[in-house]
Amino acid sequence: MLDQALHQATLDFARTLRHAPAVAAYESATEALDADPGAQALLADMREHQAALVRLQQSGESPTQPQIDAFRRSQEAIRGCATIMAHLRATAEVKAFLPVVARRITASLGFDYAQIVAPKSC
Amino acid sequence: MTLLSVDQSSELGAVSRATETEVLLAAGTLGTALRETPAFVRLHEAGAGLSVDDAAQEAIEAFNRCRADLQIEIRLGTLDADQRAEIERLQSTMLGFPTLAEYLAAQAEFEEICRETAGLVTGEIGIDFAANCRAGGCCGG
Repeated sequence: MLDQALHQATLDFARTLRHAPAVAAYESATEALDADPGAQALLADMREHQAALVRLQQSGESPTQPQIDAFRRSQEAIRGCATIMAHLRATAEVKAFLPVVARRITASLGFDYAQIVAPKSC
Repeated sequence: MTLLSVDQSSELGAVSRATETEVLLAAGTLGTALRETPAFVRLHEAGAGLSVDDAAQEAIEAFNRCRADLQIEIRLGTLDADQRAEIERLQSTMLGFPTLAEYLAAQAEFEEICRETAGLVTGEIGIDFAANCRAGGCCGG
């Protein structure tokens, strides 16, 4: 359980972080993606193709050319979707920004904050 | 796409930089707040106590040497009974030192506090902060 001072310091940090351009852009891109049924359909289609290819691989079979072509078409459709591409860019930017922020915590703390909090499976 | 005037884009850039500066300042403040917790003080003191316990240090080194010598067998899961017994013996000896036990307990307590802060941040920003703190963070937000 966090004491009051640490709890408040954490909330202050988190609320400031939420307004960082990279984080705000990610939130905005995520909202746009969630609200775009066309983009959601493209992603679902891509996931279906990927799952089919994985099943084939696990059973030791090779995909047919039509299956490969269909997967490539779904990939191209993803690349042509502005909402999805914007979300991918926003994701990449926020994932580049958060380690910078974590290093600042580390510098102040004197311990590797990121290593401490990272999930053990990662 | 709307083209911004030079002044407008400079202003937005300045706002972005100011906000990022505020974030980094706030991050530093959080780090300082963590340093001031009783758990960190306990960890720092436990570390100091462990560092001057020569016998505990020797036991740690013996355990680490054994693990290093057997790292391939450990990785492949091919330790024989004697090797497993030796590692367990050295580990048990090591953990029997109160200074190390205290350090490990203090470390676990402090790590839990850090994870709680990360959880709180995640709740506010909607992105898994802990998973994305490291470059190449593996999990989606």
